[in-house]
Amino acid sequence: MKRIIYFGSLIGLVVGFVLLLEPTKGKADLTIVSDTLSTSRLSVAGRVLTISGNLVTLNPAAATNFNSTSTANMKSGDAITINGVAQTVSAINSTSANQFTTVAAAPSGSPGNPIYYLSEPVHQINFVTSTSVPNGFFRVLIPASLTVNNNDNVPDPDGFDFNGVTTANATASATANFSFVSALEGATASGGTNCTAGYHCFEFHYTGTGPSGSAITLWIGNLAKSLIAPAPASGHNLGVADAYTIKVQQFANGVNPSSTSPIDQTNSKIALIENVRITATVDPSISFSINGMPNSVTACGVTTTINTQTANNAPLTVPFGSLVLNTFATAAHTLVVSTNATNGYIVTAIENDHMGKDGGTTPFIPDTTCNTGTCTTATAANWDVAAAHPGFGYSLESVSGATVPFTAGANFSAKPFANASLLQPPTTIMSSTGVSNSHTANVCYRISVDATQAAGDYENQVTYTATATF
Amino acid sequence: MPAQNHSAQKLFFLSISGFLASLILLLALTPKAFAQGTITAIPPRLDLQADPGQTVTASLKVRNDADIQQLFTISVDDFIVTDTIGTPIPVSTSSNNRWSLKNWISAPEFIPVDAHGTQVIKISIKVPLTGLPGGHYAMITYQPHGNIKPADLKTTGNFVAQRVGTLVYLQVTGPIVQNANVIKFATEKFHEQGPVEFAGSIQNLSDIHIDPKGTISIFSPFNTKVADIQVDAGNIFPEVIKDFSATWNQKWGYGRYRAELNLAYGTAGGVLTAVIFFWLFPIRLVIYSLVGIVSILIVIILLNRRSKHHQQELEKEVSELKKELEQVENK
Repeated sequence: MKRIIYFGSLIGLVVGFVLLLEPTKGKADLTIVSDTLSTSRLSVAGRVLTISGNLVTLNPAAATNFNSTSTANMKSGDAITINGVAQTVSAINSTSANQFTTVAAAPSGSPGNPIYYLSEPVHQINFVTSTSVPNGFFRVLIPASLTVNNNDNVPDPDGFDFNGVTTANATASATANFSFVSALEGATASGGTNCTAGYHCFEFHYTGTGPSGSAITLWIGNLAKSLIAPAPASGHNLGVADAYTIKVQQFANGVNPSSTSPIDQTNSKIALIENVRITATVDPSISFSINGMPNSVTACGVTTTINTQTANNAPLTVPFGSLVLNTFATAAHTLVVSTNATNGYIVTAIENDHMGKDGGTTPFIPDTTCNTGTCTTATAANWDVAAAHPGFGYSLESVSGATVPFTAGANFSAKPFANASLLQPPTTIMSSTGVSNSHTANVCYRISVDATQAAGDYENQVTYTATATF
Repeated sequence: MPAQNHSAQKLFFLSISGFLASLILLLALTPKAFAQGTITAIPPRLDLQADPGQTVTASLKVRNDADIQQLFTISVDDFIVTDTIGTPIPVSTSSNNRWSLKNWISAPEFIPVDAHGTQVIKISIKVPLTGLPGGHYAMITYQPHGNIKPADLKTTGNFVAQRVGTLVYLQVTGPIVQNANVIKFATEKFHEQGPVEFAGSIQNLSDIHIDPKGTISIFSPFNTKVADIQVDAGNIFPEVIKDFSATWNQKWGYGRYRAELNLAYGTAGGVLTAVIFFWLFPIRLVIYSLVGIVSILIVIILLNRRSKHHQQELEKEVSELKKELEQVENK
């Protein structure tokens, strides 16, 4: 008895060892299998609750085969159908989760009419062969619905709709030893010839040695037509993907794939989910800033002597301080305007009055008339001689983009500010006829007094107003 | 020991007092600065429409990009446009202003805006029953530190006020005259080469602003359309002339062209048209080319003549030599 047990065990071990060494046939897997979708967006299958003009309210309650209950998976520009009539979504209501508007007035629909958006991703299937199969073919099985018509060009709740795809919409990348024969390609809807119900079948036949370890890429769908992605499944939760399994198989030449086991087969998962709608609003606007400048820098062709950057109440003052008789004091500001308004912007300037003693009306430092007494609020003239030409005035310099009505030039061409107390209208100091991004100009102030000027502090207010052009 | 402690305490308090006094002096001497920052008006233009007797509301926004909260003074002013580039000029005396809107607008006088924040401003416009149909215009501007007066500076200098604003266009419904004229549509009579610049002026004779848009169509000397140039004259204030310009980016031409201006304006189907003719012809290039060709022809002719003359001389010499030979042979 002991001998029988001993020999029996020995024979069993030998047989097991031999079986272990025997190479497995038809059991290898295709490796590195993936199905990359051009969009992982779910389709939409919802129902009308109400329609009022362009405003459509989606039924927030799910029904059989209609599980899209919010607009979370919709965006403006989507081509949809409402009760079979093509429409374009113009906007999603930002405050209501199930309302959107259409570009054209939506058809008068009754509650329950279907609303569809078709998501048609292209499948890019990659894998590496494991077995050498000369002159064989690959077959890809894409999940299809078993409960609804899976080839009626509308989204299904539990699989891809075939959407009338043909072999013209499927391609394969030829590589060395894999010459794909387009005439032998197959695209069969679920339940068709040699295609078991529950999967749409796509065959890619090739000639060549078909060696193992070859990287293969197949495409199902193209810009012209693709399978329709599923709509949300029953019980779908927003933001949680619906997963589906595809199968990639490799067969020997000439076999019937519906009745023959594949040489190799690997399953791969794909997941579909609502898109993420990103919105942003750009307001039409006009922005304006006034920035100070230090002294001893060049602006309008002259060197500033006054700091408007860090002085008292900077930058919204021009603190000339104590003036030296018959000598220029010069200061400057940088004005910056940005606007997306069509036809551009205008910046005007006006002073409330002459620079009056202690902010009063008299005595005052006169507005400049420049070297020859010819400059006015409308006409600029050179002003580079301080003696015998007292006054207060300004010049301009475009730094970036801005159009200015005159520039300082070599001799500090200047003007007096328009004076509101004399009922003069504000004058334009910078402008543009189009949109502007940080248009910049320097305004350079200059003052000079002579010995006849009464001692005291002289002040006034210069107002810059930036608006769109009319 | 107690005496030593007392003097140490005294020294300590003196040191603290000195430090605090220095700090206060330093703070007092440090220049006080206004907030430096960009202010933004949203939107730049606001178009509204109302019936006489109706009240309409609107929301505007102002943004403060300074690092501190600022109090903005809100000003409402009527404005008119008098120049040809569309500069809105605030007017303080609105009693005779047919386009006045200021007195119908209710807006807050001041509004605080947080640092780097945006504040919404609600305005309402109550149109009186007697409000004239047509356009009414105002600008709403925002100014930080609007309460500071020049005399507060206490030194010789200027206080600078920074304002940015929204232009408000209100159309009061009713019978509105819509009329406009093309005052000018011109280009240089003769262009040797492009681009061809067109300049024009439109006079708005309407009760409301208009926004003429359209094309300048260019026709070749053979009367075929060769280009359409888009024209947008922008908003034109009532009873105001506004300039516009357009460019035909064509370098070469070969004759007399026709330019047809067609601009649509208003809501009553108004159309502005004008036609001008101009030459686009590279006259100097053609003259230089002709001179070059004629010069070459003259050179060829001269060379040909010279060659013929030379040949004739040779033939003459040959015939003379023949004669001389014959004479020698005869001898």
